[in-house]
Amino acid sequence: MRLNVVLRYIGMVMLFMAAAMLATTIVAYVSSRDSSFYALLLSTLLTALLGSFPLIFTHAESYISNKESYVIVLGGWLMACVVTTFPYLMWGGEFSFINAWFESVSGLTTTGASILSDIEFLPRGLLFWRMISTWIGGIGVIMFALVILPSMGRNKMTLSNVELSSVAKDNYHYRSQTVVQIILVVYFGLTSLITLMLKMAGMNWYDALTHAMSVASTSGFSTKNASIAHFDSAAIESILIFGMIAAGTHFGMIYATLTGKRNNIFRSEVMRVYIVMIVVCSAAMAANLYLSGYYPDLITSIRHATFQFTSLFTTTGFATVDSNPWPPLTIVVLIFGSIVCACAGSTTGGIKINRALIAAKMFKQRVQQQQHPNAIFRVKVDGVSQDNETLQTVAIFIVFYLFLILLGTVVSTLFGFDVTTSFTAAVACLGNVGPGFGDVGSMDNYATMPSALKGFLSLLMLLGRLEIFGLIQLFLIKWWR
Amino acid sequence: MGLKRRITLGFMGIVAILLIAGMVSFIELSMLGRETDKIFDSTRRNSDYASEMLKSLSSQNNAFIKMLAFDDNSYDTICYNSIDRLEEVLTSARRHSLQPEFIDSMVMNARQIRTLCSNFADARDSLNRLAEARRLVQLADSTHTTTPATVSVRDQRSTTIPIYNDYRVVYNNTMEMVSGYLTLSQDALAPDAQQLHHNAYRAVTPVMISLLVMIVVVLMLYYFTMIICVNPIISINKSLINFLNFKIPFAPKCYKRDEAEQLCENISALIKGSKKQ
Repeated sequence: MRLNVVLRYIGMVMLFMAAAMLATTIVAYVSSRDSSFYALLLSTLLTALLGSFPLIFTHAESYISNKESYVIVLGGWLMACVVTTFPYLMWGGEFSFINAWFESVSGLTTTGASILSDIEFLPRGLLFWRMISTWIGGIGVIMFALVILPSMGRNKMTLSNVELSSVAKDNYHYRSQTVVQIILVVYFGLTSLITLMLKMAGMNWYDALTHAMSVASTSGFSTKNASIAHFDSAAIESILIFGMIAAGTHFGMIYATLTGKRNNIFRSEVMRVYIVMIVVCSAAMAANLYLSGYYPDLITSIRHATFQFTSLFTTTGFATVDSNPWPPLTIVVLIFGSIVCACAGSTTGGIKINRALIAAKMFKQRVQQQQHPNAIFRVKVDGVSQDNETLQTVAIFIVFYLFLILLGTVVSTLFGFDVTTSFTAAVACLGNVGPGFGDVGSMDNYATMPSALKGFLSLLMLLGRLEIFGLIQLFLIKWWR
Repeated sequence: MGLKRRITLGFMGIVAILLIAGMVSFIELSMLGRETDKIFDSTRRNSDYASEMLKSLSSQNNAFIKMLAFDDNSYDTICYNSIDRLEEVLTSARRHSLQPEFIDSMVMNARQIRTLCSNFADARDSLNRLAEARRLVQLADSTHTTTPATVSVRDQRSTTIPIYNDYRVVYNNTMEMVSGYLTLSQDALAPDAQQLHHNAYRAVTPVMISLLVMIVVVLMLYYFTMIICVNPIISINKSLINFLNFKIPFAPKCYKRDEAEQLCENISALIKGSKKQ
């Protein structure tokens, strides 16, 4: 492996992060040069220097190997997390080293879990940096860098293959360069559309833009302490529900639908399951809330149930109410949503419906196979037969995912947290959801957790964002040789 | 870009980091110094103003109590002068205050005290006038003894005690506000200083981060210098020795770019030329 080549591409990612920081510095300057201005300015300069250094010494290479691509993607992610902490650390406040790292990882992995007890105290510049980092993380730092930075030639394909979720690639029947462009066009389009809609619904431009960024990236970061409950507006909540559902849909399918292609939303089996799950689970929760007398009228029950379920199912994590005291059935449904999560090829985390659907079909195939031992049954999704390697990968992924949730629960309980808090914190961090239940409920945060646990949960977030296998490669020394 | 330019740029980068880190640290520390000075100044000013306020309030209160006890209007001037003084101090304090709204509520209290004192004086004067009128009536008709010559204590109390009660509440409230004003500047620390509230080391965080970045950059400089300069030279030299001593073909295995690549090509050309001769 050529370290200099790896460093060159990681340097490009750093330069991209520096550009984002510069944009935020301008925001801080415009906001009466608030207290985050110097922190952002110095962070921009340091990141730019860090990024440009390998570019001074290394030439562009026409070929990068698969192994190098993995290291570039992982190194790019880790370094992006490191440089994201710079403005937080330099600004101070609640940001100790571990808090800054947690907030940075949570932002870039679009988890949306926070350690801040008073978000509104942050200066505008730093709040914007929090939002822009999560927006960049939405479709991945590498993906952004691939489009914005030129002269990468065919290396784009290798890198985008590593960055894209394995189950997400099925819906893309384009050249690698086009895939990256499609993702960005849909992402920018979605962010712009939601910004306009939120503005029309009564938010100011700053809140509309930052919340649109948060929705498009399904992170759930808000500029308000009370999250979406602060606005208490049915119109805003409806727009956000639409935004969250759209952000949880495969971007390739959105593009195909808009351009009149065949593999569109209306033909997709995964999409059908996605919508049916939202409708059925929201209805079940609303009925449970209404019948248990938690809310006096059905409309309020439907409003809160739909918002909360969509929010957790799409791994966004916004909140309109504190769902902690809700009846047990609704909590179970919400946890189920936090584990399964939305479609592959979107900005969401979790197991993803595609894998859950394949797993369900594998189960059905197994039962049929036992009934008819000599028959040949194929697992098909959207009419496409899935090969054995895909099935095996899906099965291993789900098993390992559940194992990590168990591990996360055990580790959290070791620190003295109750089972609900520990389990849901592990689910929320691994699935990049953000809020859980218990001490980490939708109106609480992770501030009270000990530093070591915050570090561990950050690792879970990264594992979830890089779909487990990616990050684990980094720790396999044998693989490096 | 040649080797010389690359290495120069690398070193310039390090110098730039040092410069930037130094500059930003200087700015940050200057800002911190300014904030700290601001707090000290504000605290000192608050103490001065609070002392003035207490003096004015005390003098006004003494005058008011004497007005109440001796039923004499000679203390009115002292009372009003003290309130005037208090209002002047409050106006000056408002100009320098970090939280003018706090002073505004004190000004409101001072106005209330003035109104209450004025109400008390009016009530007292009207009672005195009434007593004077009764006295004159009594003098004119000395046979009438049904009307008392002076105002009864009950009449006086029923008029002045509610005013005094109100006054006492406002006065105590104002005294508490003056005490609060003494610590106001500490509570209203500017944001930059408030960030340092928990951890003093935050003042040097930018320098620490810059140092860490510089360590990484220096390590990278070492690595790249090795890979683009030192290793090629060693490899070329080794290959050349092998060629000269053992006639092993000249083919150095290293990262050959820029001058190192040219050097290899030139040596190869030289070897080819010498073979032809």
